Amino acid sequence: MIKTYWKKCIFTLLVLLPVMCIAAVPAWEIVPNESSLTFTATQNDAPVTGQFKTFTGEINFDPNQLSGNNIKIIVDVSSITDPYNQLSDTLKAPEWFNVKLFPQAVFKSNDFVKTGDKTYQSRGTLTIRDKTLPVTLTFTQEEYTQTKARIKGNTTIKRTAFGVGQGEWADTKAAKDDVQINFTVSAVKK
Amino acid sequence: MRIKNSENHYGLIAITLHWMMAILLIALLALGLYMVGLPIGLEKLKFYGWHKEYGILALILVIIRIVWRFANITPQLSLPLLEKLAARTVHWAFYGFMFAMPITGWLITSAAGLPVSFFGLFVLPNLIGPDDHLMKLFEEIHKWLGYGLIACIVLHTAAALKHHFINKDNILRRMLS
Repeated sequence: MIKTYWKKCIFTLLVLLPVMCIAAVPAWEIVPNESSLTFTATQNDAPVTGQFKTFTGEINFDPNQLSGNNIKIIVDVSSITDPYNQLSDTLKAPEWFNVKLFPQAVFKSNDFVKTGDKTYQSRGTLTIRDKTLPVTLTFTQEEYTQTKARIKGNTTIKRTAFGVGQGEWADTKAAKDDVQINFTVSAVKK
Repeated sequence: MRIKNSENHYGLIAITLHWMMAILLIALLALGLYMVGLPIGLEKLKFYGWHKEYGILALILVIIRIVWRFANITPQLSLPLLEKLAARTVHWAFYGFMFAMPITGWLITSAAGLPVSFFGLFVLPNLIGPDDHLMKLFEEIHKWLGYGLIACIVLHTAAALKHHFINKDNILRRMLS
């Protein structure tokens, strides 16, 4: 009797083990068509908005269990676009993003805090050019099912802290220092 | 000097608006012609910012001016019919340019996705969405309107000076005091 009981126990554990491992923190895959990364800067006191069309990421996130979560978002800086072509060309140049030398911008975080019913904060580091600085994202969960999730959020950074806009462009009167970043990320469970 | 126009004289409001806009429009034309040739840089960005907000100021002033023009009489022009026709044609051409210049400028900056702030007080709405093709089209129209406006200023100034120094009449003086 006892023998059969232990056998059953071990068998059950063995069967469940892989399931338990996967269940730890689910991994998500970004759906590019339903995700966006935009920025709004201020030129001559008026807003100007652009977009980074390409970004990828590793997302391990479980809203019900925030410890052990981690994300890494990699932005292809050369995918920057703006309605005014001359502007995106300027932003790719050495004084701004210098995309030839620094093709990627990276946000990494493993520190998540729930701030409301569906709102979260993610404290991490953002690397643009050769500067890595702490940045906190705020985001709202807009959709969450067993297989799909969508979040929307933003943060504000100081462009000159990252060396974006050098030389005469370090002046923050005509092109303000604060830049708002808005993002929507749709992801499916892997 | 009276505030309103009379049969033979312009009033204080009309004279002030005329000379404010004369200075403003000439400065905007000069700045516009200069700034387009600059290489991309902080100076160019600043000059474009000024050109846009002072351009909107010109639009506001021309609206006030046309309301004022219709709200009171226009002093008579005692000139031969053809000269009178020429003078009035140039005057109305000015109104056309004074509206068309800022509006096409506003359309350019709207199509470029670069909205205009009016001296930091408020941001103007974009008239149209971002469109590279339309932006280039409006740029071309704005440029040729600018040349047309310069031609009108030359004609108008030459006529005013001719009346003052050759005909020795009061045409220029009545816009001065």
